[in-house]
Amino acid sequence: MSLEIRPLVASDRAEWGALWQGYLAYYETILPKAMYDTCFARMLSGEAGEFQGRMALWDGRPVGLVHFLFHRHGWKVENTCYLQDLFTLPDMRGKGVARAMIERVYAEADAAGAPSVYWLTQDFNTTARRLYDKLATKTPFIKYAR
Amino acid sequence: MSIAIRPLKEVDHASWRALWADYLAFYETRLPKAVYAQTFARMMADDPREFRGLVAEKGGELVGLAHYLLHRNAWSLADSCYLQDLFVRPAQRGSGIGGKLIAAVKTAALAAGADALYWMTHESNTTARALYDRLAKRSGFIEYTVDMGAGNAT
Repeated sequence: MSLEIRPLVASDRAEWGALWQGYLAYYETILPKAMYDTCFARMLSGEAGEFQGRMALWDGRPVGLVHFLFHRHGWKVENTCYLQDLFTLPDMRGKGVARAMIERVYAEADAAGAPSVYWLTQDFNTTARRLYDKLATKTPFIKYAR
Repeated sequence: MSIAIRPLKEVDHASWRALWADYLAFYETRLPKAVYAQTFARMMADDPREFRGLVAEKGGELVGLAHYLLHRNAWSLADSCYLQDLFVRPAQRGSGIGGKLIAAVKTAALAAGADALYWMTHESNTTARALYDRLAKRSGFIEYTVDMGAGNAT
């Protein structure tokens, strides 16, 4: 059994789309196909200010994805790293896939000179929070959206 | 006296610095001089991927500020707007300046093509939250962070 985490490439479009659809379904969200295409194209552009994507493969089978973005932080000279999306196929959970993807993002942030990585999660997402509480610190900040 | 909300300008540097220091003091945070200089210069850069600043002016003095950033949102074609810093001088609170600053950020974000505006607040900040609960929705999302080196979290 081998776990590989690697950058998305153009030929991943179909497998990535299936994983992202599974992730969005958890949030009861359906996005139009055009948005999948644009999001994927932006991630593959390699441009600063665009999200980057990584895919997890278990014995070559796509089983997870992570999307992250470097952006400015007014309190720092360096950029910060926002981990927006993290997903592992339900039948592949409990095997360390999500942990490996988060740790990969930490490594990418280190390489990019970004001293912090942050993400948001729903306060009732107890399954995910069990992992997050091991890998990160819960801040006392809550999110408001207008 | 009337309140004017307007973009931050080069001539505001000294007054802005004093305001921001008071804001950061609320978070028990002190930042090196280099961060003040860098953050101000970036806000003056007129670059779509840099923070922008708005200030509230009353009787020729700055009494409030807002710093916001447009960034990509993987779930949308449009950018999201992150309101990172919002501050009104304590003596000027309760007269609607915070709400006016948030409304001005929303207008600026819409004009720049963003379709969402969000911010984070400390869960214990009951004064601010009384305003936020009127203006916005609490999303149910909480923040996790990993600080890999020196400096402040989030």
